[in-house]
Formats: sequence, structure tokens, C-alpha cells
Amino acid sequence: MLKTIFTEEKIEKIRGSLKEDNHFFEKRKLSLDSFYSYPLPSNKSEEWRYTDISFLDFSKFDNDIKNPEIKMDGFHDLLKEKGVIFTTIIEAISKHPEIIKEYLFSKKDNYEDKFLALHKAMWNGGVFIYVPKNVEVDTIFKVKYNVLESSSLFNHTLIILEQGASLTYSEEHTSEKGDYEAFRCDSVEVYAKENSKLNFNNFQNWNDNITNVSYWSARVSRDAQVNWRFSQLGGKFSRIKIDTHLDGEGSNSTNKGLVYANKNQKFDITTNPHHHVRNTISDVLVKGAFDGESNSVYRGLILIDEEGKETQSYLSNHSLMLSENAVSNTIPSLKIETDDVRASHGATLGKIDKDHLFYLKTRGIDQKSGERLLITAFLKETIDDMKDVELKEKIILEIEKKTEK
Amino acid sequence: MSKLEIKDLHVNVEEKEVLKGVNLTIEQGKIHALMGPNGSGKSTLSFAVMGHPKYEITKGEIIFDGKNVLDLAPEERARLGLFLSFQYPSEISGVSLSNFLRTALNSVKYTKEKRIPVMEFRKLLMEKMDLLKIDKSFASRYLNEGFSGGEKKRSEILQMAILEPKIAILDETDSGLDVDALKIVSNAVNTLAGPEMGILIITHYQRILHHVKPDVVHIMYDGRIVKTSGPELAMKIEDEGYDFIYKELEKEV
Repeated sequence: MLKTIFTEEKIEKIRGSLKEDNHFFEKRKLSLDSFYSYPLPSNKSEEWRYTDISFLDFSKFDNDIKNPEIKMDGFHDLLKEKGVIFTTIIEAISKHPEIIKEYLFSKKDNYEDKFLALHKAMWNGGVFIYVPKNVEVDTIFKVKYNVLESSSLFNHTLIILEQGASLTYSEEHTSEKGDYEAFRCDSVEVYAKENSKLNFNNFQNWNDNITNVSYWSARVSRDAQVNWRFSQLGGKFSRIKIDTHLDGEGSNSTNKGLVYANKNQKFDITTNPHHHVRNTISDVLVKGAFDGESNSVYRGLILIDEEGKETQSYLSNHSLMLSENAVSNTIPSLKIETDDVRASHGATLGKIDKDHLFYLKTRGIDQKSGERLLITAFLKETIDDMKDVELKEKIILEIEKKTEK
Repeated sequence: MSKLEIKDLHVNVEEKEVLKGVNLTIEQGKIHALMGPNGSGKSTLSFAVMGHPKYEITKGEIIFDGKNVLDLAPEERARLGLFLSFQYPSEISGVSLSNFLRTALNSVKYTKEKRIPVMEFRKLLMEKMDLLKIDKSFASRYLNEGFSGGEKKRSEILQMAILEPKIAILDETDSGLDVDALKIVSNAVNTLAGPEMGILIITHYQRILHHVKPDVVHIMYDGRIVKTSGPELAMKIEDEGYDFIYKELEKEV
């Protein structure tokens, strides 16, 4: 059935609408072949062991080529004069084809799965950001995506920071309520050159009509820094896999995220730091609150190559169980091929502390409000240091609202 | 005038009877001290009054302002004007003291429809912190997290100052404090005490009573209040310990 939905004719159509040159088209065709060559994910493979996606039925989506509503904010003339680019990827293909060709899907991380192959074949929208050498972007680049209708959406975010550049980028995802279903299969690609710094903030609060599969990756050069922050609240199913490649000595990354699931929501989160060279640092903190009959899995693998001496890598995961019927699986692991490293991983699983709740009640705070305070407090540790304060406040508010549901 | 009346209160903790018929009345405007050796049931009484689910009332009544509070949830008791300063307050990461206090104040004195305006609250908080000589940085710190023993007790007293209960129970407020911290906390209690507030100070030692003068002193022993007298009783315990009480009890038997 998939063969009748994701076809070469469709790719032709995308080529036509994006006016892209043959280089892209040939790559799309190869990716489409790969897509067909991969088996559908099943719980027989380790990556999908805890996530059943048999519910995914592509015939439910209107599979015409569409894009979500997109709003961009934070760009100004002075940045333009300095050579900063902040535009849709569609526009970038015609205006800056050479940079796109050089970077798009070019990183050698060898990772691909069925969905990423599909994304590579079908990508047709998203955002392109380029910050030239030593330019510090003094505003926050914000992108808001809003899904409007039944569709399959393939957005690509490509961010390139040249040497010494810095940027804070925030993306916010919502969907219109309605009697429709949409499928998102997107990808984020980050190149942080020597001594550059990126703060990447993601927040999604879709309605329960969205199924999402995302793959994010970053290549982090010498002394550069990439800070991921993700807040996952909405959707029917949302999977994100984040690979952070610490390629240069002195590079470092933090990855903090929260998941708040209720009802029948499913989340599947993976955060893998790859330490390829010596003296690199990674700090991962993922927190989840699980209510209703939600079902979630978190995987975190610390990979340290033979060359990765003097590496520091920490990973922790904390789950707050709010319902007897919610499921949370946590699989932290280490793969270290050298010595002289400092690496640790830890996970905890608990419930709301009854003594804390009683303490709040003696101050007049009722059960509901007390739970709201405690759930929010638990989750917000992961966004406490978020540079986009406006977004942070919004996320906290949405968490508070969700406790009422 | 408000009044907390505890009548023949029996309380089980994990099936074991800890309070065996407590009678105690505290009026607004008065300072009572409840003394007694460890394990006599003092803290159990304070938790039972606030309605901790672990403390099972098997017999007796707790009446506040003429209302039996035993059927009320802890938050409803707080809204009526009861307050407990904990011996070991919870440390709650992620909730700032000011956010917590605003939520609490809104719950106790305001309604869903009418909340205290944020600026008005800030003003009130600063005022009370000034009054109790508490550093302003306190407000943005997470609730009791990493607080020293003295800071935790001051945080409790600050909550009391904001919520203005009619009856406040201070459970072992003096424990774990050095002399300086004890003075600060005692001064804060004296500042808040007045005709609008009744206070029950629960203490093992009498040292806080050098700083806060009680009107009435009660001695608790083995789940009952065995002696009630004026402030001179505290002095006697300071000099002689609890032994004379035990002897008196033996005589009665």
C-alpha cells in the first residue's frame, strides 16, 4: 500500500513545486529506494521493542504534498547585512543552492531507518538558518508550526553556525483541533563549527490527532556547544531520536527534555551523545510524568570511541508515575571503548510524595492544585535554564493546564 | 473569638494507640506551651489536628469555631484558620517560596474568581520579610531546598505571617537551632503573637520559653495531658526535669 502513496510521481511533484535541480531529485530517488528496502519497524528490532506502531495507517492521511502553517520571527536588517540567513528551506534551495547541497544530509553519521529514508525522499518544507563567522545573533529566532489539516508533513530544519557564531533558536509546534489525522516525519540537522554556540529549544503541544517521528542530529566541532531543550506534551504518538556527535576536542553538549503524557498518548525518546574525540563533555537530563494509560519509552546511550579519553558524560532520567495504568520504560546504557573517562547514568521512578502533598494541603492548597504544583516543579527542572524565557513561561503554563485534564 | 477544642482525642498510628484521650482548649490571643518527653505524643497531636491521613482518630472530637473539623480535609482546616509549623518541613525543588506562598494565600484567603494581584502580593511578602528580618533572596529560592535548620523554621514562620491563622501550632520549632537562630525565630513568633492569634508551642526543651512567654503550660505524658499550669511549670521542669511529674503520676496510681 505504501508504494501507492509514496511514489516517484510524488517526488516529481515536489521537484516541480520546489523548482529544485537534479542533484536533489536523484538523492530523493535513492532515498525512496532505501525506504522500500527497510522493513516496517516492529518490536523485533531493538529500536522499536517498546513501541508498537501497528496503529500507523497511512491511508488515514491525506497524502497530498502539503505544508503546515509557518510563522518566523526574530530576523532583522542588521543581521541580514552581516550575512545571516533565516528563511524557509524552499526559498533557500533557489537562493542558496550551493550551501544546501553542501550540507543537506551530508553528515557521515551512517544512521538511517525507514522513516528517515522517507523523510529524505519527501522533504518539502522547513527552515534554513546560516550564521556567518563570529556573528552573534542578538535576537531569538522563533519558528511556529501549526498543522491545519489531514496531511503527511516532511519538514527539514538545517542550521549552520560558522566559527565563533552563536544563536538561540526556538520552535513551537501546534495543531488545529479537528476530526482529521496528520503524520509528521521531520528532521533537524545542526552543524556547529569551531567555538560556535547553539541553544535549540523545541516545544510541541499538538492535539491528539498528530503522529510524529523525528530525527535530530548535530555535529559539534572543536570548542563548540549545542544545547538541546525539548518539551513534549501533545500528540497521539511522538518519537524523537537525537544524536549529538562531539567531533572536536573541547566540544560540549547539554540535552534536557521533558515529556508529559496522559490518556493514551505514546512517547518514544532517544538521546545519544557520541564522544568521538578526547576531552568532550555531555550532560543529559530527561524527565517524564506519566498519567492515564500512556505508554512511553526513553533510551539514552553514552557512546565513547577509542579516541575519547578525558571525556565526561552524564545521563539521568527521572519518571514520575501519576497513574497505576501508565507505563514507562527506561533504558540507559554505556558503550565505552577507552579508559580515563568519567561517565555515569542513572534512572529513578517514583510517585508524588504524599508528605509533600500533605505539607501543601496544610497551607490551604487542595489536592488538585498541590499535584499541579508538584508535577510542574518536577518537570520544569529541565527548562529552568532555557534562554527563551517567553517560551519557558508558556511551557510551564501549558504543563499546568495539562494537569487539569 | 476563635477557639480550638480538643476533646477526649484518641489517635492510632499504624494500629497502635498513641493518643489516649487528650483534652485541650486553645483560645485566640493566648500562648500555650505543650511540653513532654520524647514519644509522649506531642507531634501526633499536631498532625491529627491538621488531618494527616496516617493518623487515625478512633474517638473524640476536634472542634474549631464550633465546627467539628474531623470530617474536613487538611486544606479546609487551613482555610478555617488552623496552621502547623512543621518540625521537618518538606523540601520541594522547583517550587519557589514566593510562588508557593502566593498559591497558599490565594487558597486560604481568596477565591478562584478573586485572586490577590501579583504586585499587591509582592508588597505583602516584602513587608512580612522585613518584619521578620528575612533576607529578600529567600523569596526566589526553592521551597526549603538546601535551607539550614534555622532558615527552614524562619520559612515556616514567614508562611504563618502571610497566612495569618487564628490558631497556630509550632511543632518543635526550637529543635536543631543554635542560640542565635532560636532568638531570631522567637522574636518572629513574639512579633506575630497578639489578640488575633492563638499559639501552641510544642517543645521538648524549655529553652524557647525563655524567649516566648506562654500563658499556660501543659505537660503531655504517654498520650495524655497530665498537668496544666501557669508559666512557672516550665521553670520547674527546667530545674528538675520531668521526674517530679512521673513521681506525681505514680502517687496517683
